[in-house]
Amino acid sequence: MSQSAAPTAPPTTEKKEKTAPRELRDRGYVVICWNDPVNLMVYVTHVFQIVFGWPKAQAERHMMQVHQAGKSLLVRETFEKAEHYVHQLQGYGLHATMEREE
Amino acid sequence: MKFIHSQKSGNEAAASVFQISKQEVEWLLGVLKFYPQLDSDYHHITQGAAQEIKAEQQLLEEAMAQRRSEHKRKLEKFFATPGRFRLEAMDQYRFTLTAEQMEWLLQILNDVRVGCWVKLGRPELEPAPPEKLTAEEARTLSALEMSGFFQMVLLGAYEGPEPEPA
Repeated sequence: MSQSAAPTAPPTTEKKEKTAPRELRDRGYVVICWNDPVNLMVYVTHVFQIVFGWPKAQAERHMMQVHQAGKSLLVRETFEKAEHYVHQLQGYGLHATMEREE
Repeated sequence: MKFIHSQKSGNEAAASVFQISKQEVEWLLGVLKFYPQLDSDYHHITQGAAQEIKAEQQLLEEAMAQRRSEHKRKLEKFFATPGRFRLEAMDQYRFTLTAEQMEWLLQILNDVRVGCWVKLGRPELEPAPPEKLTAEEARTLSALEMSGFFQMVLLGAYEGPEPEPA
């Protein structure tokens, strides 16, 4: 997988000051991938490798968690970075969302 | 269709070379005609309190719409290029994809696959897809399955060529 496109770099935190209040942005956000019956397992693994730059074993571990547990918490991030990852994952057609960490 | 080998030219990233039959070329082009399938409102930024980040939901929908528009333009340009499929033997062609082209083609094929699944009412596909279908639904299911087939071939290129049978 290393010959594929490089992992996508998350944006800097300065972006989008105007759209989200600081109190929201400063809280921890988690990016979650949810199970569905349509995305191929090997495809999901590939997407995790591309988007997060993970080694195959780590990507497969999260893919299996999605498949078996119904969801996997992929990363904890700032608002902006979590949003960036959700855009990337959804661009690949995965069912991924960002949630505020309680 | 199968992955043959990678080829490297100068400082550019390695490209993947595939063998594809005349029939498979027709299937691939047929599947790609389904693109785009997913609507922008398929995408949700959160399952939580969405009203807090309404602007971000709108941003996501706009980003996905823009991405689809870019992909459609790339797709049209890619297949309009003369000699894209190079005849190698009777009914057998070769075509080459760069790493970047592989990524957007995978996304396009997955849009067709997921979009067809949504159109069919999000059925369970395992152990078997629904059987009683209208002609239109059968066509949609066929595109869903076919896009998955081409995705698997493309992803197989990352694993290297299949071993020759003994």
